[in-house]
Amino acid sequence: MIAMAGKVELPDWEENDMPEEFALGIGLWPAGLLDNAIAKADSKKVGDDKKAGKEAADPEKIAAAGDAPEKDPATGTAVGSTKVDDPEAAKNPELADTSAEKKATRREIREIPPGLGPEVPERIEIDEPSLPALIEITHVMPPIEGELRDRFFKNRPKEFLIDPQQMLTEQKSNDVRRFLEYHAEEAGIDIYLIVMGNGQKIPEDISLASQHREWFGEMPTALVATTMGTMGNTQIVYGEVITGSVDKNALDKVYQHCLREAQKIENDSDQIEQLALELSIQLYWVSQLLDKDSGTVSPITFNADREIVATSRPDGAAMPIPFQNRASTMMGPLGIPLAWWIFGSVALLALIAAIWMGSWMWRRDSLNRKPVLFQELSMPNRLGGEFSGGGFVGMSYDVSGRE
Amino acid sequence: MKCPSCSRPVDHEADTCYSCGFSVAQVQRIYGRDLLPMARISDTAHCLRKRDRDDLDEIMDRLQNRFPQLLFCSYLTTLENAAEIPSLGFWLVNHARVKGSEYARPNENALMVIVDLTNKQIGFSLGYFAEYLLGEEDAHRTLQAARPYLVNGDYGRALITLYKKLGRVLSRRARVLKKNQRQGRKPDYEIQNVPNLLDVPNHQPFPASAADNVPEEATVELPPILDPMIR
Repeated sequence: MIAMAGKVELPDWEENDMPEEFALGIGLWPAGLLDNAIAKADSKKVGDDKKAGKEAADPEKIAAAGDAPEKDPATGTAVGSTKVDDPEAAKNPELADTSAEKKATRREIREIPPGLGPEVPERIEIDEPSLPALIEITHVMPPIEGELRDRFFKNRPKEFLIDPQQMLTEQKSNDVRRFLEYHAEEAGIDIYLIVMGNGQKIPEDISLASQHREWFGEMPTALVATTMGTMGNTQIVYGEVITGSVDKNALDKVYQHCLREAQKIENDSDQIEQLALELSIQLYWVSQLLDKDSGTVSPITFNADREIVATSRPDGAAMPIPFQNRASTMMGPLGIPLAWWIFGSVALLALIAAIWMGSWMWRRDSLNRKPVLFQELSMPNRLGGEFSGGGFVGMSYDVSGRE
Repeated sequence: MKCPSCSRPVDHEADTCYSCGFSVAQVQRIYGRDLLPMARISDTAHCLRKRDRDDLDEIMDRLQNRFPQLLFCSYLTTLENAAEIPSLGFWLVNHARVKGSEYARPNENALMVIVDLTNKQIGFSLGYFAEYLLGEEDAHRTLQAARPYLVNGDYGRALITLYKKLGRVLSRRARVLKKNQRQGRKPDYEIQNVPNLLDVPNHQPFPASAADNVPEEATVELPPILDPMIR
């Protein structure tokens, strides 16, 4: 029974192949795990299994191999090693051989001979190509030539927004297009807006002025060519009808005002929209000042705030106050815009009229009005009554519910 | 036009009710054949305070100034039977002699408001001409205006509200009549005389003996409420 006790399997961690990795438990671990001899034995090839088994079974060899643990002077065993319960079993080499065979068997299982098991590909060293540190993505559009050029400049545009490359998003494009259509309905000067991509330019052999003349002739039209992202390259051509009537300085001011307002916005698409909006506002009032009979526009100047200021007509008549100036000067007494005053006045008048109407309708049925005389009628008698035929209209005001 | 007794429709020239034979002779047997002198506001139920009566007098003065042809009067009473109020109204309009009413305000132009405090009923008893002026719907709407005050027992306020509403209704009616007259339309009286759509039995004259049964000089026992007023 005692010999059987000596064959009790030690825990698996006793055979740890890399005991040094578990050195945290120094002093608590079995002596064999802390022995460098085992570490050295583990580093050897697996070929000499029996030898390794004998070495593992022979404590003296283990002790002699390098950093042997201290021996207990009383028992002669290494301090910290697993103590075998049966001293006979410890002395018996057969028992020790048996344990060594078991250890060797475990090692065979653990270390698969070459050619068996899944093949692990050898690590292949690849020379990584030397990539540039930063890839620069450019948004430079191709030059306007060939088919693209035709789409821009070949035919007279059918729509007010000319964006064949679809630089604007669909939503924004629709917004700008609708706005320009609305402007064309309201104002006398149409706006045709050409949108080009970043880096694109109008071909050198194309003149925007000649293109304006070819497309629109004598029509009061503004042809605007702008570039996404670089609003400074925007060109506005008005045609001879407008340039012959309006002071060039005034048109320059319009141009600068529109660009300045557009560049206040960061988004490129919004800049285009804002440019169209500002130009529409300015041109609306320019068109308002256009004398329909003579086809001329009165001299237009700008005030310090770069807003259009009304001046006199050529015939000396008073000019209507144009857009922004009108909005800024026609303020009410309390700083409320005049339009609000007008609206409020109309609303107030309507309210007064409604009150007066209600009052009149109420008063006309008042008992204090002049007497009412009905047309006399001779009524036939009924039920024998001389004055009444029993006409009665009644109701109950009993809320208790009793009969 | 309905019978005060059975509420069945009555032809505008019928001497008696087609259904029940009701006529003025029957109410005369109950209330008497004599004329009843009464004030413009007869409060036999004693539910109006002096202030209410003053306010009511004022509003009725204004009403009579506005409608000089019409006679406005109120009768507040307590009746034992709820069904009495139409027939009492019928009798009152035919027999009341309202103080202050002139010849220009005959009873056929009377709009008498009758309030029965016991049974909590209110109604208009109308003379012939007043029927023509105040339709059933308008009369009901007028009564409805006073209903909240009646429910609360504020009879003075209720009558004032009622008469104000009545003035407006009559003013509107006057405008309509004037407009119709201008456009040459027939008066509403003739328009309202449409064939009776209800299943009214053929007119069989009520036996004359029933109506003439009351002797000319007979003494009629009046209800206790009316009795002191006559004396």
